[in-house]
Amino acid sequence: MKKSRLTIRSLWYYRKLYLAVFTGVVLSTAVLSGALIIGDSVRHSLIKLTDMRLGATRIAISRGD
Amino acid sequence: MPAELQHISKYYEQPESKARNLILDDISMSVPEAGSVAIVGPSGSGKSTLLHILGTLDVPTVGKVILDNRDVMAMNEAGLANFRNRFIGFIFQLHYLLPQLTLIENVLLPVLPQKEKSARKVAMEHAGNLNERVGLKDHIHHRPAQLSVGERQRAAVVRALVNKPRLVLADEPTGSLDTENAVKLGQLLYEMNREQNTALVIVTHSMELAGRMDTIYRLSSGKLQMIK
Repeated sequence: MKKSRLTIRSLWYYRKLYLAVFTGVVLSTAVLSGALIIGDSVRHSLIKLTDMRLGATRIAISRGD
Repeated sequence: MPAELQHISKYYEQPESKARNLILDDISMSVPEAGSVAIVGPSGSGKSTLLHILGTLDVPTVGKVILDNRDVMAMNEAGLANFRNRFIGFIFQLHYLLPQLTLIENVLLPVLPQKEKSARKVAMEHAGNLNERVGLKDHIHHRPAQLSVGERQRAAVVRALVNKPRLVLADEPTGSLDTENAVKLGQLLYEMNREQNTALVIVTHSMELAGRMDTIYRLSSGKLQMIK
């Protein structure tokens, strides 16, 4: 009985549990990463669209009410 | 003398009121070489706590634990773990065999920390003899799930003895067994104590099992009283 054997046996015995945890981590990472990337992309698109509509405006005067 | 407790007290302080919850009150006892001792008492009286202190799994608030003429409280953590592995065998109420290992692999787990090949070889031979002795020779490649409850507990006994410990501590070893298996295991523990020359300390509710031991103590309200 060696430590390596114990490790391999344990990994194999609990493989379904480890696979489920691994899959969960991969899926949740993908969802979170995707949401962050899409969020950044949408924000960038809106800023670009606003810039285009404003054109070369440098100064804006507000009525103050 | 393989084991001696000197003026052991154990208490917990209530965090708010600072009141002391006394579990063990100035307990002294000794376990003779190859002797057998039973500790009986009502649930919650501190029997398991006392056994855990004797097995160095817990520390007393006051007092000394002397094992093999050494003060174990003075040892560092690694030294104590090594000493515990070689000197003490544990049997618990539940077998705690690892489901991913076969019976023989489970039995040889206490040998895992030993690095010398010769020691491992001796332990393997000893494990083979013990398995034959307790009637598990034909089941050594079975997983715990393929064994009966009595067989699992016998495997736990073999695991406790595989390193040839001088002290075996059993915490309610028959607690999870039916009457027939409990009687058989009690007989086995008694015989192994005699054959292997190990000191045996059993915590039990069973007076039938306790009656087989040389000495019986009763633990009640934190005090230990010899009744046999």
